[in-house]
Amino acid sequence: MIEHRHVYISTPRWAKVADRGLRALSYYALSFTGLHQLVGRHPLFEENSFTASWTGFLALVLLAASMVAGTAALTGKAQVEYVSLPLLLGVVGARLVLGLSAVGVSPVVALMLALWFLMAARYVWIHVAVTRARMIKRTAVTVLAPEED
Amino acid sequence: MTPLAATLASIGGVVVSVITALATLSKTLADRRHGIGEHELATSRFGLESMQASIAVKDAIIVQLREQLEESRQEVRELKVQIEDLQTEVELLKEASGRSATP
Repeated sequence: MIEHRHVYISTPRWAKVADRGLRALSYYALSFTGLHQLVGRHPLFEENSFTASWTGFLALVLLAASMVAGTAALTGKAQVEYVSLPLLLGVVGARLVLGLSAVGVSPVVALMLALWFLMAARYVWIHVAVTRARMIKRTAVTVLAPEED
Repeated sequence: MTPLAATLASIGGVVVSVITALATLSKTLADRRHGIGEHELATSRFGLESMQASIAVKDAIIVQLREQLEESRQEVRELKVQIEDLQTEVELLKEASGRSATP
């Protein structure tokens, strides 16, 4: 049996393109949701209330943050995605709480919950890569090329 | 859950996420100043494996050099003993030749 642990297989180009494209599509779907809430005629709460204004503000932040994250995913800027993901997770979580409060469990709420978990997984993935890169940098400075006394 | 409670909970969540995003932003900017960019992130997996392999090779070389150093020290000790023996022999020979030279 072949040991695959130390065999370096480079990812094919189409897989990278599909990965970026599908992730960007998910983010743009979220931004479309924000846009739909901003301009749509389906308010969750009665108009001219603080909750309605707050929901509108959340939709605006959701639109902006997911546009930034989608563009970052499309252009392969993982660090920009890493910065925008916590904000996006918070806004989607807040929107989930408001949606559950207003209409209960609905298909849109379930889809947003699924996207929330996908984004959390992506955040953990990038965080692990960042931690590894930091460890490499630290090891390269202190172990492999120590300063002379 | 009442709308007010949901609004307060969502405000709390957003505040926490904004603080986390700002902390992440400052750490990422610090990373970029220290030379950790997109390329380092993309190659961090294989980079870590090669780094661990380099450290393992370095450790093996250190162990090997320590063994060689110990062997060399042992050889030096043996050579010192040999030199002392030879010096004693030379002195004995000098004494013997001095005795035989006297009538």
